[in-house]
Amino acid sequence: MAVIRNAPGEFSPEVVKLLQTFGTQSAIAIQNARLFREIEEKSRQLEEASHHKSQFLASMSHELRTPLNAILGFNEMMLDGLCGEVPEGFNDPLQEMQTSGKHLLRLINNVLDLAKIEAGRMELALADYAVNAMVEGVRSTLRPLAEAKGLEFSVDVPTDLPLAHGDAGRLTQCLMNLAGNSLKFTKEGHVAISVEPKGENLVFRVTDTGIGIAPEKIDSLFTEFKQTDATIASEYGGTGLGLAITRQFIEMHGGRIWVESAPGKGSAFIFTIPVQAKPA
Amino acid sequence: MTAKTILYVEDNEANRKLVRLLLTNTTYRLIEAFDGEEGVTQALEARPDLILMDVQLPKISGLEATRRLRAEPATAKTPIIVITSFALSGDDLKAKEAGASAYLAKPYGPRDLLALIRNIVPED
Repeated sequence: MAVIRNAPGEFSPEVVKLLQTFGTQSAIAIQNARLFREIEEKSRQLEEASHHKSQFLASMSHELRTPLNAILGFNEMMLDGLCGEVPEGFNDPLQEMQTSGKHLLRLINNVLDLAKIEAGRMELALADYAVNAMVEGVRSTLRPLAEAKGLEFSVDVPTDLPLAHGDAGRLTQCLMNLAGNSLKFTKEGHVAISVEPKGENLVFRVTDTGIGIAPEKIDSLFTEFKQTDATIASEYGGTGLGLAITRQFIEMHGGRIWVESAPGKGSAFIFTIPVQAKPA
Repeated sequence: MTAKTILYVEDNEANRKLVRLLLTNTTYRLIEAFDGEEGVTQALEARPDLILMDVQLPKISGLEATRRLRAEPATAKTPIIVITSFALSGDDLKAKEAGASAYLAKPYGPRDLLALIRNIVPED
């Protein structure tokens, strides 16, 4: 910074001090402007990266689903006898292929859901929904599974609940994950879903009389691929992603989820969400 | 009665084969196109009774092809089932906006697809 004046002579100490302050302030202002520009550039780069990620996800989803469509489709047609009578002994292996293919599809869907959440590209589709109808939908989907295992499967939702606001599709997915887990890990006894209004919130409880969870395993339960034991995946199936996704969706609704469990006695997965979820 | 014609626009050979096999024992006549542009050309030439349109196609997308067909008087009212496999939400909405009559997500079950086809254009 240069200061020039027309009259000869020295600057008074006051003026020098003032100019010094002025100089320091200018330097700070320039620095701030630079930082600001850098932040702008960084945020543009982030935006671009996030956009690339979305594009990648969309392509990935297509690239994975297209061959799987042919695999599952031809398999279904063979099972339906559209390719001729199914030879003796072929039915079981074909059925296994269908089951594994569907499992792969669930994995793909879950991985993409998680990736979308991480890329910040997952948006809730908020609308009014009837809690009763939502829970009833979950019950009717899972009932055959409960019956096949001889488990009691009950639902307890007050009939006078007002319409709630949230993403009923994603909440259904959460309840399906939790109740599906309960049915999977329960050999005898019952599985129950209950809903209770509590102030501005709804408290959902999914309880079972299943194998339970050891206290030291509870913390990592909601982390990706952390089924408490590696053998669990092979014995009970599942993608190891359901709880991680469930937690994300509950938190996106402004709620939280936790678990109370005792090994050998059973588990209770409890989540609360606002009756009226607000857009993020 | 003449057989109902279905146009399937899909670039993946295995999936075209799948639908070919699915329709073997029906009275439907199947014609195929491999990319969006050809899909539009074929639709305008052959005037099919129903179009199955994949979304991600070479040249122009299935959504763009659907939009172009909706703008043509000859195909403005032809039923179009859009088949998508995108990961991002709002796919069904985008298909509707482009003018799709129905929407199916990949992987679709052949049984479901045939039921949907029969529902929209009953077999003779």
